[in-house]
Amino acid sequence: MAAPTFAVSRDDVRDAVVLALTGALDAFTAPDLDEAVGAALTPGHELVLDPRELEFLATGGVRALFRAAESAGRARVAPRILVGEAQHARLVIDRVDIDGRPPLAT
Amino acid sequence: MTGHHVLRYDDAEELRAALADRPAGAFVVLACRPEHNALLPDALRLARPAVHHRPVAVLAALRRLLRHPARPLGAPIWVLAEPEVGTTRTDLARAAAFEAARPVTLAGEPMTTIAAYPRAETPAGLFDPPQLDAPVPDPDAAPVLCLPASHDRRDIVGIRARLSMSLAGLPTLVRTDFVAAVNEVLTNAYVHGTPPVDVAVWVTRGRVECRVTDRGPGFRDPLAGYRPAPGGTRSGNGLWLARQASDELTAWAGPDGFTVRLTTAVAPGLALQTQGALARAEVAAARVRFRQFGNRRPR
Repeated sequence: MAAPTFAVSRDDVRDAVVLALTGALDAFTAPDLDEAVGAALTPGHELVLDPRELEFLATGGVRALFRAAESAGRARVAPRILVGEAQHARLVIDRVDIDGRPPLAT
Repeated sequence: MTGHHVLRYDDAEELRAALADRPAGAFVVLACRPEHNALLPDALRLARPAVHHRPVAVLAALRRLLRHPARPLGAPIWVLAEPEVGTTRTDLARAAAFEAARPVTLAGEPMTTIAAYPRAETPAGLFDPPQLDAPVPDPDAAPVLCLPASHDRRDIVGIRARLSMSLAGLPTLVRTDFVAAVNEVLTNAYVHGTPPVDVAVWVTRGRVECRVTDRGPGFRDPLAGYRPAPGGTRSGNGLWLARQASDELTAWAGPDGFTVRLTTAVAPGLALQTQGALARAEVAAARVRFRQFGNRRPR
């Protein structure tokens, strides 16, 4: 069983920048997401984070997702995190129970 | 009456009386025996919380009531629950941890909770203060996975993969939850502890167990992980998640360092299940239960 590595793929679509996440997002790969988000923030464009294809999400990864949303807010960029109701990422985010609801969307 | 209370009752009238103090407009949640859940027709009714299984999952579910779609905006929440405390010593220890943690975990929230126990059936020790965990001897069987002396936090990726492989015969939900719990403990060992880090895993007929040992002093708070860290983007939620994703988390300092032990029960029949439709159905059913009052042991 190969260990999943974390990767971010960027897709610019009309008024949004979509970052699709794959692999494992945890405390040690979170800086890669921070970096990708920093490069993706574009005034006037929505930032869409898509963790639906992650193979593993830890609390360190959840914090990174929320940090990304906060960074976007500071840069006056509207953030969205795509998570389905029945997805593992949603379960982890609900369990972590971070104060203040993140901009989750299905 | 506000805050978090224990009600030892003799008859249902005492339960009804406990609800009489609720403020106008309160969002009332009943999580009692069926006959007591009917006390208030317009309350949200939930199953009794199984605090003897995963007490932190119940505490987390209580906190999520703050965001329940049926709660009117800004309405105070009143929860009357009759927790299930189980029958074994382990059950009682978990239920006692729930009672010790409840006022701490929910402190500062616009929520009143009343845990009601029949006076005649309340076990002794349920309200004892929490104690530090005592060391637990290793299981008799040989570990299925033994990864000693990791010095490099980058090892965590491979450890997760090998752990997942060693649990391949277990249902998906059990495996992914357990790997998630171990990952949080491992992360703490690398980030807050002192290498080298040792990992050992046992899979027996009824239980999966993992021990993570590092050479740091560890933590001394018996309620560590019984509340989420304040402020979402700070660290400190690892044990909160680990306690929700495993049946039991105990920890102690010893001559070899600081050890965290995680266990989850596995019904013998479940070990024979494989991935696929059955596992997906199991995950869906567990999530429904989780949204109500904590994820109970899959059957």
